[in-house]
Amino acid sequence: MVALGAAVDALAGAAATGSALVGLYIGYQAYRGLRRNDEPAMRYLAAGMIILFGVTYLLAVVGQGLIAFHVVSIDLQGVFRLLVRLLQLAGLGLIAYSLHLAAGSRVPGG
Amino acid sequence: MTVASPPTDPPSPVAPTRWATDLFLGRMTDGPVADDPDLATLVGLLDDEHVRTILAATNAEPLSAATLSDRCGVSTSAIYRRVDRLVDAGLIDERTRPRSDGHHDTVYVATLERFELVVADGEVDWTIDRTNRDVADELTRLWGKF
Repeated sequence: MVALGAAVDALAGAAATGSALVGLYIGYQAYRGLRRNDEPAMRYLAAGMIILFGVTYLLAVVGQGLIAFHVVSIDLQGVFRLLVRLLQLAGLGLIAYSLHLAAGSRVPGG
Repeated sequence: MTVASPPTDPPSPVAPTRWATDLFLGRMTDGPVADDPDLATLVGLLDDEHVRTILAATNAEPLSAATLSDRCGVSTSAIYRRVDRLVDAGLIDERTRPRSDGHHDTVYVATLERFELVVADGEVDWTIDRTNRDVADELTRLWGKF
């Protein structure tokens, strides 16, 4: 059962890394879209995706590492979780804002 | 003896990997792509310095005729003459970009990626490879369409 648990943990970690990479890829394309098309909506989409997938992933990994190596107390696990959730909220907020910017710049029927 | 022949097996306008991009971006298939231009048209176009500047500049980013006029140092009417021929030849794409004041900008994007001339078996053969539309541009377009 221990081996199974470790395998599941490894898979969960790999999936988390995978979604961080795909999220960062989309964020990177949004950044290129900003550079190529001067579209301000893409700035917030890129920032949102990078915070939502990249920064939260980094924070979660660093937090787990610090706790695992007893650099910080396990009592702070909840604080890390809160920070990750707040960053997710901020990232999604930026994406929602970008959506409204993009809709605002659209020509009706165009 | 030189024989200019059209490509025996014309490259499909839809690159093999494109369906995956289409699927990923939920994109509709484009209408029929113009047939490849003949070799004389192609070489004639590429013989022009400003055409090469237009291709290089619009490969890096979508640009308007006004910007291309600055880059090439020629009038916008000279630019329009060239981009019209390039669009007809299928070497660049014309797009519209909505502006915040509600008007549109027309911008041009290079689609030509590679032009290859092969002299073999007593024949001159040639192929054009076109790029897929840039993912970043499609993302920008789609995001604005939501």
